[in-house]
Amino acid sequence: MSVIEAQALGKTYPGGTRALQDVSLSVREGEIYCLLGRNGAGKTTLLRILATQLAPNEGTARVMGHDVVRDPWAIRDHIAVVPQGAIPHGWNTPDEAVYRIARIRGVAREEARRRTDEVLRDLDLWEHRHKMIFDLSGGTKQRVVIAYAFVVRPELLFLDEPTIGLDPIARRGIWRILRRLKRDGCTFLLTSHYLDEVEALADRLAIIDRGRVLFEGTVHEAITGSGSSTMVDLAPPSSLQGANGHAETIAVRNDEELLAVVQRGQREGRKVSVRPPSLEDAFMRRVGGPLDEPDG
Amino acid sequence: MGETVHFALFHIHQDAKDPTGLLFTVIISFLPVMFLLIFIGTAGAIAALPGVLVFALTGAGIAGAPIVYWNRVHHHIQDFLVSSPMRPASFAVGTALYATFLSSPSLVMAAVALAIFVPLSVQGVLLAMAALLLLWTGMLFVGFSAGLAAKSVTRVNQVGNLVGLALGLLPPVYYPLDRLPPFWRPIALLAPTTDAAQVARAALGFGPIPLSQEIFAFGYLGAFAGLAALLSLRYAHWVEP
Repeated sequence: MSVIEAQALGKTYPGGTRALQDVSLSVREGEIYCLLGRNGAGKTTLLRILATQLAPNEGTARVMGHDVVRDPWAIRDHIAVVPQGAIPHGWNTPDEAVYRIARIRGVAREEARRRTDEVLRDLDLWEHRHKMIFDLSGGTKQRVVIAYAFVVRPELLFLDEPTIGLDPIARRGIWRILRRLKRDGCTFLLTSHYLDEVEALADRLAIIDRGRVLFEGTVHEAITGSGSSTMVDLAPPSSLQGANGHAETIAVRNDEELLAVVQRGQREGRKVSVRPPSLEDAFMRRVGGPLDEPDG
Repeated sequence: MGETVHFALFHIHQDAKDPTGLLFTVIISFLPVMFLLIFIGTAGAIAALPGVLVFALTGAGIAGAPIVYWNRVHHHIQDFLVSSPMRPASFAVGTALYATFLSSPSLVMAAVALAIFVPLSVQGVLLAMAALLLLWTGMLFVGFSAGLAAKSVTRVNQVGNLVGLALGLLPPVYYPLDRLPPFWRPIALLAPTTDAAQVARAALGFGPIPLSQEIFAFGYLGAFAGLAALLSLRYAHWVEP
């Protein structure tokens, strides 16, 4: 069953910026769905439309079976959002802020207390719970914002670059919780710049660029469907290493192309590495234009 | 109702930790009273107490501007709450409650002082409250509009400072209108704070004003509140268009 269904969504901001064009996608119940794209690709615009914060100009979107424009209140009971770049109120403590957010969202007193303690422990905020948020590090503040959403226990959670600014250990801590919430039945729509994060979490993903969906599918499909079976990295020639050096990554489709590239590398005295394609290669190929084509 | 109170408490918690901010607002609003006490005497200072109420409510309204702006742009708490069952009216009332909390020590102290030093009538108190309520409503909507329309924190601060000065300190809020030269009186009445202060002073027993002026003041305050509400609605979007 689809929790989110978007059909031909379009958004042009009042200033004339066209942020989304003909976007269609579907998010299934219980999956982690990632939106991957460069800055300004339209990820946040799409997320905000689906989270009922922003009105689309074209197309339709249904979330939990309800139209985002005509029936947003039926959606809002079931969702929560971690907005991009949100900074928590500094004079509160994490304990006060998260508890109060739970109360604002209608959670009863005892339950709010219980959930606050649980979320603070889960997000490694327990030892900071009585400190002023002002005094916390950037990554810890980000975890407080994430705690606002987790304490709600939504059925559908929108996360707009939630792990930006977090250290690798904290990021993995967030991933662990997302997976646990997923096991409990929560569905996620997550935007990210981090390809490793998408590879680690995404059941499916959409690659967005200039407001259009360029690809929708699994990580495996994104990699295997990028048109290349092998990647060859050519290091700069040893005589040119340093500022003048020029490394190349070449996508090859068959053994003949592979042989040609390897021979060229050897002729030029370059270190040659052969590896399977990654999500980054697939992303770059779709968004950043073609990689260096084999010329041999 | 619960979400409104908890939204206000979410913010109030912070200021409760550092009461010096609240103390500062009390001192600012009572500063003209202290000057009058020193230079004119006790009677002049007591007669200025309605001005404290007017100034404090003006400040409460203007305080709405940075609260709205910061919650919208910096904290993104508005985005978080739009994607929740919270109603925009609850968000607005919660913001108003918090903004008024910031002025509440001044309001309470002025009200207590008036109750101690002035023989008040129920009718007079109700009349003064009606005028002050209209002023408070209008100022809150002015604050909301400024917070919603502002593109930068600098602009929010500038608007707050200028409106606070223009409506709270320059008009005859702490003293009677007839202390101004005749030329300035009609100009001063353009500031809704002047009208609210004149009605409150008269209703609380500090010299009567003509009925026509009272009626004009209520009409003007009502129109001010209505126009400010319309301005606010023009800028306010729960769902961004």
